[in-house]
Amino acid sequence: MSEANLTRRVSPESVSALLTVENGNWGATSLRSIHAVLASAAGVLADAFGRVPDAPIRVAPWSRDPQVFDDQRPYQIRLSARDRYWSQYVYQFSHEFCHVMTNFDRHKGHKHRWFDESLCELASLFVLHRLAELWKAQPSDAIPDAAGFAFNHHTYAERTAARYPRISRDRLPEWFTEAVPRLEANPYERDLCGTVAVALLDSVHADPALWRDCGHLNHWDPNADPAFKDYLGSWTVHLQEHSLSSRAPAAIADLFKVVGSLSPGRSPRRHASETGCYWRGERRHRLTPGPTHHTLRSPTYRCRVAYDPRYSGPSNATIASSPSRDALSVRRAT
Amino acid sequence: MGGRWTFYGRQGELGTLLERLRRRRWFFGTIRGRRRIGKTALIQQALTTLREDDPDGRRTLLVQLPDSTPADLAAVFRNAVREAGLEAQFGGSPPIRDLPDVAAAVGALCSVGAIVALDEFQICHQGPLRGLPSLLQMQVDRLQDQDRAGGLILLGSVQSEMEALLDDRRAPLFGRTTFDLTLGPWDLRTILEVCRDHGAEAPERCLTLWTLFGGVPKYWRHFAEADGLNAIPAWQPWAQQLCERLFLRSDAPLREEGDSLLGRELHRNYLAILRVVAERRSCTHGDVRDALPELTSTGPYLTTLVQDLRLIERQLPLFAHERQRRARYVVADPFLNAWLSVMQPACQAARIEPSSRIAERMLPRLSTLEGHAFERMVREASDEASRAGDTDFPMTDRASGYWNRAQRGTGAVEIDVVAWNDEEHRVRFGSCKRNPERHDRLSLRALRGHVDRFLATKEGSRFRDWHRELVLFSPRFPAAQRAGLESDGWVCRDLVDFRRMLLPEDRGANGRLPASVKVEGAE
Repeated sequence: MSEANLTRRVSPESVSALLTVENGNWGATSLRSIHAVLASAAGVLADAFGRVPDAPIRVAPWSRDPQVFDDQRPYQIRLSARDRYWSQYVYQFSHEFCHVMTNFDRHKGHKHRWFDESLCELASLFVLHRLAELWKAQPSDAIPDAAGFAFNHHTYAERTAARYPRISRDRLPEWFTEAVPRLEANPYERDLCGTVAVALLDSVHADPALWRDCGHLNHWDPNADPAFKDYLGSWTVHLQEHSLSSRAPAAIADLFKVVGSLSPGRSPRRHASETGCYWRGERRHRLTPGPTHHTLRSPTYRCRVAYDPRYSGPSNATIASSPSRDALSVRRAT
Repeated sequence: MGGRWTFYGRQGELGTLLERLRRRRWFFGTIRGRRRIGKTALIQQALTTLREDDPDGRRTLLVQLPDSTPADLAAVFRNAVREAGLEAQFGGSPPIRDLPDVAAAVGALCSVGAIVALDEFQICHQGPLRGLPSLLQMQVDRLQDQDRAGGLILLGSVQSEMEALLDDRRAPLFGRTTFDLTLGPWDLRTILEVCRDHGAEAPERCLTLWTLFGGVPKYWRHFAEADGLNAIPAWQPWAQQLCERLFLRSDAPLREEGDSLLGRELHRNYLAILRVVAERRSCTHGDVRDALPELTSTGPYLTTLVQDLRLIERQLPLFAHERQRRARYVVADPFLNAWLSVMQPACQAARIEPSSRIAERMLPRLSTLEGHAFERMVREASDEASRAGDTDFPMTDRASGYWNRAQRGTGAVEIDVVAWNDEEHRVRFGSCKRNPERHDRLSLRALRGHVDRFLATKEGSRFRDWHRELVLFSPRFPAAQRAGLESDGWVCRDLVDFRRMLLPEDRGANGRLPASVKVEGAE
């Protein structure tokens, strides 16, 4: 996907057409209003991601925590919001919609899931703030008194953000270093994910195009990234392979001072041919077909290589799976 | 005064109703509940909301059945069809002249996907319209096999008559409904919301209003529309004005309400029993017998009042067996309770005395009544907060009270609130006082004594090793008193706390609901 494609605005109608609000006990409100609320939230995110979801989305009410189901197309989202608590709808739906946009069910159960969760929390806050402006400027006819309601989105976002511990920017790297093991152990640590989200909020407000990079998450197998810095590295590589800016991983690395994840490098092919394939002696990851890895063929091995093209060090790749008869995954050296 | 009146509460019921109406499948439902509880408002709101989704969609017809002759019903029905613009369904003016025509017209409208709601259906229990249920049965049986049919909804208020029409095995419409909604009083959450929107946020005022109106929407609306009331700063003159303007003056909207409500359901003996129970706030069967020696047998009356009419509630102490004789009877409906014990005598006196003087005189009685009402309010609030999950004390069973029938005064146990959590092994014992100053040294010592004696009983023994909390409830605790009590280990909870629990800010603001014409008051 080229940069030119990414800057294209997504039409609200195209997002709206993909959304269906299912009949159910939504409380005291019409389906039309709910659809308009969700479509406005989806519109903000789709615009930020620069694309619409890859399949229709069906939204239904239920009484448990909000969720998007794995491996279902159309996507199935369940919300617990009811009545006309529009901010709650926006908050819950934006979170689940962000999972859809970040390709949540391509790879499940990896240790960096906390990052997805944090991003989705960030998406909720981001959309709430955006809709506070949008509803005021262009209120939807289907939402009664949308303009009058708009400021409540701000209040809701700020109240939600205030629930998370606020860490000053200079203490963030230290806090982050301590938090990552806990996040890796439990990706649903709300306070920690929320703190990450709040820390990133200013960045996405200043540069909403960062979301476009997030649309490529999970296009590679994050199981192959032993540490978060590797994950950011893989992300960067993937984006660069697709001629994208890779500003988001850089911004995150910079904010949390994730050392070693990004460095200026060489061309991938050259690097791979120089370093060759490096045997680590264990099968750690399943080999994922797809366009996100370069495949090097040799009489002995076919290696999947993910690398940082800007890397300048002596050894940029390690093999993260066994030298099976035909394939190896090559990862950046740490 | 506060904000504009809108459709409050009933989110669950409205959601259920809308879900049913949106399905393109035949339905036959009932909506039941006491008078003024908001049945018609609910169906009208549902139809209004439904039209938002599909402005040109399903046709709807709401007909209020007149307590009159079949010919009059036919005329009312014809007019309703014309007003709703449904004449085209009949190819012009509908040929509706008698009961069979009405039933046939209902069937014809449902066949083409319309929703027909018949209000005041309890009228068909007796009198000239009693043939209508049988005629409707034929239509219902025919329609239930059709895929894309509309639906019929029956609304009715007199519980006993609606049960006879729909739940009696011999009734023509028995076993045919696809859903039954019973509307109870508003929950406390809705009441706190209305108080917030209409200038009665002060806990003392909220308690007074709840004591007088319970959770009956129509009465709250009368309050909300009484201009200028909430400009009165102190509780006492405010309460006096409230009683005068809503009950005592010749133009007061609720002056005849209690009598008219009771007159429809009850005959003399029931009324006498109800009055005895209301006057005593709560009493045993023996108390009723003693108060009404001329009645040879009060038991059957009490049973009917409890089980069929549901005007009286039979309360049992915690863990008591259903057949135990420690049961207490209380008037179930707060409005009726207030009417019988305070308002009715005051309204009678107001015919010959200035209403301001009566209002002044009735305040002490109202305050006493509020004390009893507060106990019930606390139990309901505790249940509701626990159900909503927004509480510091999640319960695993409903909050209850405990009392015994000790022969010696020293052995008596009376605890207003007992709530517990089986999983966490926590138990709360609470004392409710309308006036927080009454939580004095003497009362605190008494509560400890009651708790100790309770734990020594067979019922209380299960809590002996549990974590114990002693909680004091009042409408509002002054900060200094609260700090003092809490530093001594007491837990203080007031209506401000319950408001925080029941109207949590983390849901954000509720958007505007386009209310039906009836609710908007443009009817």
